[in-house]
Amino acid sequence: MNTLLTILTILPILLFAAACVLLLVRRTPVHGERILAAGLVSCVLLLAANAWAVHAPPLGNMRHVLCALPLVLAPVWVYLRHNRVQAGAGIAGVAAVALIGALCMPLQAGWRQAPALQSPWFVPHVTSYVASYAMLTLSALYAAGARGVRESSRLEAAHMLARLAFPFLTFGLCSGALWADAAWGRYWAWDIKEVWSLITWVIYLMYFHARASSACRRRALLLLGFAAVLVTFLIVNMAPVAADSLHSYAQ
Amino acid sequence: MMREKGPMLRATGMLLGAICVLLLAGGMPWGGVGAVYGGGLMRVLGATVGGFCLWAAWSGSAGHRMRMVMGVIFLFFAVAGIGVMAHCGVESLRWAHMGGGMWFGAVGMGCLAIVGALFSAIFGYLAHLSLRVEKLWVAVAHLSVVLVVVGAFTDAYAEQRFTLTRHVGEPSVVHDKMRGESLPFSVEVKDMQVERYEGSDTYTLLEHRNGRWLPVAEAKREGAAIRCGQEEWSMAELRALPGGEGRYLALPGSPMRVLVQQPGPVKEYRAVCRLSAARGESEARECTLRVNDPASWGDWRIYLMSCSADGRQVQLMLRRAPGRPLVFTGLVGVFLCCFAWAFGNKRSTQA
Repeated sequence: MNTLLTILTILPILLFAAACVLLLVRRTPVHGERILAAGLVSCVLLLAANAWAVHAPPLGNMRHVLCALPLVLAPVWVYLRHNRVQAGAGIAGVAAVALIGALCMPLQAGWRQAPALQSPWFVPHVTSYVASYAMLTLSALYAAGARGVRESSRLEAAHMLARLAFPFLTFGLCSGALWADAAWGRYWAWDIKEVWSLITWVIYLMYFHARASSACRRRALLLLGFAAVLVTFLIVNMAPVAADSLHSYAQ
Repeated sequence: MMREKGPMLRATGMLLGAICVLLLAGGMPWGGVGAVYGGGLMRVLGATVGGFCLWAAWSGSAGHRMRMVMGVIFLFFAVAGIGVMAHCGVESLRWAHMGGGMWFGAVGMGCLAIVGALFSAIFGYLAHLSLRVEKLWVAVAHLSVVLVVVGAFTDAYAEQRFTLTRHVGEPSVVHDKMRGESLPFSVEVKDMQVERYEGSDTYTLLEHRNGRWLPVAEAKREGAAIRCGQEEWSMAELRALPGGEGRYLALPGSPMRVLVQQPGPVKEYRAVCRLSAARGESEARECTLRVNDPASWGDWRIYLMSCSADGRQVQLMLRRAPGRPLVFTGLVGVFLCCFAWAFGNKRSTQA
């Protein structure tokens, strides 16, 4: 089982890496898009295998979430009507990096869903956060590359992606509060993960309120927001303080 | 709406500043979160955040400073009124009958009426001004944040919370020392069930010494083998002992050592409870509490928090949160408005 899960993780990494290269070279974008689609299909198989291994929705730890991340980018790729080649390269790159990260995490084939995670909120809460983080990663890539003659168009694309991601980020925050009320008897506990997710949300809120300010400031806010996403998603989970966190089962 | 960008940005900055102060105050571990909630600071900050939120919505929509100032003043009274109402509840009406604290209840009810009228007026005004639907969502999102803050503020002031640790079968009437009276219901945990997942990867190595089996080390299953420190046994060479349901494994060549599979992780806790009226009424019912599934009695909610290892002692939490409906309404409003704002604009679908 462990070998199968590892192979199923490596396969989409190879496909996404190949798609990213082909789409960046732009000589054969059609082939690149097909390979990207094949990578997404192989991610469905990986998700199914993870679900079969743990007998539950496979979204309960870092490895599972990183394996699911490429799949939430599929609708974004379809949704992007313009400049699909460039967006496809970004999606393939982000998906490959996420899966390499998953490979570095413990396999946790023996993971079982804890009582607190057996809630109707589990799948929508985690999925909305994963979707928003994936879109905000793409948005940060666009913002980082917004220089020279392409500054305006790339900032516009970054804004569009951040705007799509923000409702999902908000849903994650609100659904977390509703879930916490049912599980812990309080909707806010000042847990380190909660505080950082609120900080992330506030930074993007500042970005949308500063829409009329200069391009430099908007880019800085988008990159700052992405830094907060990294802290919330990765650093908080890996920090020693995470052991005392109410979200410790997410490691 | 939002004709002037300057005041809107300033108000937003102040709102975010207030939220940061709120975060800082609540998140300071050395200050003690409990102390912050228990003291007046949280209420002051809650009122400040609420005021700035209203300011942002008001100045962005109308642009008239006078209305904005009036809005903040109204909000202050409204929040104070809700706090008084939630804290005193029907007690204030009893005082009104006695004549002793009539003004207290009257002020509370008056403020509650003002806040209702104020929010209705703001909503209607914004709806009237907002010819573009997108901007209406933005305004409603701001008002939803105000609702969340008012609800949290009310709970910080008026929430009642009790933690009970009871043995199975022990009935319990909870006495509220603050109010000098018992809660209107009693709780009895009739049965506690702990369901576990099958199997576990972890084993305990037992060794027979001086006539007793003693645990000496932990072992872990890795694939088709069990590893314990430097030792490793394949599953094929281990033999299940009779009567142990496969949990006891004899090691090859060493009859004085046995591996015992530890119980699997907990799948679900279930506490079967009987809730009954504490003040003479005959009303009673049974319910099953789960971790994500609290029971309710009137406006009280009963949560299953934990249980002892043998399942005979159960920890419950009883909670009455008058601000909960406001917080929930606000949360739902915030995320619905965000979705409508993001997906209701055709421009957002283009890269």
